[in-house]
Amino acid sequence: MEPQPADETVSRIPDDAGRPILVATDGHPRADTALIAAAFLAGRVGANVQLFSVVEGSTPTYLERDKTSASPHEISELRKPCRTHEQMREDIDLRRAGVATQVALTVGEAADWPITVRGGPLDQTSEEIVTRSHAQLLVIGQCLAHRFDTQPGTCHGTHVLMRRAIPIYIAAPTLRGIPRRVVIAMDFSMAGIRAAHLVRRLSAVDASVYLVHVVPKDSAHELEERRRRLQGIGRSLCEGSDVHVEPILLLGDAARETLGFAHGIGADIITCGTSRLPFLPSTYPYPPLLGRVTRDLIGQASCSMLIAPHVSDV
Amino acid sequence: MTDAEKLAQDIPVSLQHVVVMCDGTPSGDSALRLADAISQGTGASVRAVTWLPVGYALDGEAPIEKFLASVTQQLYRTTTRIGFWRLELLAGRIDQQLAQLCSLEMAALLIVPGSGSVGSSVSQWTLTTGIPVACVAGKTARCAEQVILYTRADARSQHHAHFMATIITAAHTMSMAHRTFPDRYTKRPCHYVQVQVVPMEPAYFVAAHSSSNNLSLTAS
Repeated sequence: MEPQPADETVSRIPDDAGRPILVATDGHPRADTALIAAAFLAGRVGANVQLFSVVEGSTPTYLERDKTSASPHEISELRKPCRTHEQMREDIDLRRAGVATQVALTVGEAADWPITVRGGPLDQTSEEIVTRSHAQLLVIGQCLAHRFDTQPGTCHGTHVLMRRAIPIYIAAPTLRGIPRRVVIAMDFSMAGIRAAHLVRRLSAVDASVYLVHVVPKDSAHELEERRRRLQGIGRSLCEGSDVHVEPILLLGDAARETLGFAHGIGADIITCGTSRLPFLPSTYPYPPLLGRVTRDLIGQASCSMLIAPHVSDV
Repeated sequence: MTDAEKLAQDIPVSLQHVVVMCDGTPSGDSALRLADAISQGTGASVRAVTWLPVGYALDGEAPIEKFLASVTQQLYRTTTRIGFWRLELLAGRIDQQLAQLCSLEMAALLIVPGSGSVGSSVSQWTLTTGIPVACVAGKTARCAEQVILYTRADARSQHHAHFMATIITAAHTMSMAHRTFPDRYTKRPCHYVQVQVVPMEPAYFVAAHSSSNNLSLTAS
């Protein structure tokens, strides 16, 4: 955690005016909330919306099945390196039609949102689309992979898209519109401060914002120092807006305490910056892998999430 | 795509304020529910408007207060009461007053009941107010409810209307999902919003600038 003066960080936040909101969808019903969220967010900030979908080498049908129950034939299909050109073209056409139908039935046929469907590996293809769009935000539907024998986590697609150098809004099925009860998980990083200012812009003008910092038990002696910094960020969030910001200090494990607090107040959204794995530097063009706190929040939150990357990653 | 359409696409539109008309009818309930869903979805503030119907008997004890109380009751019964809803009472010729109110409120959308109590000039209000007018209509063959969204014919207005149609549909989808299956979104069996373009008529621009008498009360 590298502390930065809040004002300096805010001045480095890119100007999002006029930049579109990007929605990633595979046509699955769980992405419906992403479309609805994008419509509301666009209404809040006055942005255009663009959609994209990536058709990977294997069909989604195989990817979504539980691999433990797949037949030998299905496993061999999964192992095929790529589909033929014609098959891929058919898949792309099919996906485009599916996404168009999803748009029409979720946000209406009046939504003249441009749809980009590309074939290729999700990681590289989504990176190209995101970079080219100059979007201010990427919206995706929440996809939690709950298995009885493992810890809760996120789907493969979510994990890949989370590595894009763009703020990501994960719309949960509990979505009720733009956020009114906001939890900001603040770690004093530049990404965290950026996330805080971003969510303030995307939330209701009269939103209640809880600026939460969790102090590890072995750092309890820094309580007063951290409280002071938290209050400073809280004041900068209040400037020029009607939002009510309440700084909250908690003690313990960052992910667990933040999730517990968010659940307790019935939060609409949890926001954080991407925490990094300290010994894994960024490999161009991809930002570094997510740290444990961010991963735990994404994997276990029942409400929507907004994750902002480090400013230098943008 | 024409140059005008390209230009319109570059104009960002945001939804901060909505005006909704309520008349005490079931159709008025639908209009209020839609306004409430949009308010929840986008955080937009809502100004509710009612009007003394033509021929409304102004005799008896405190008739205006009683009328306001009945409409306020509809407002509280129908909506979630999130935020502060101000109720405006109009009297006399409401066309121009509505235009002035929408302008004053910087409204981006006007929602009206489809019950017919507002008269036949609903579609023309998009010309006088300069914003899309959403008329919440009753049952059709496939839909329990449908919205006709009237808009001016110019490219910018049509772009604005399509933007609003998207938000209206999203709000409706969301509210239906939470009313029926709280944990998941159910797609609608039909298109909820139909956009209709209203041709320009010079007479309406003249009318829009004329003044009229008004009676304005505020209730919370």
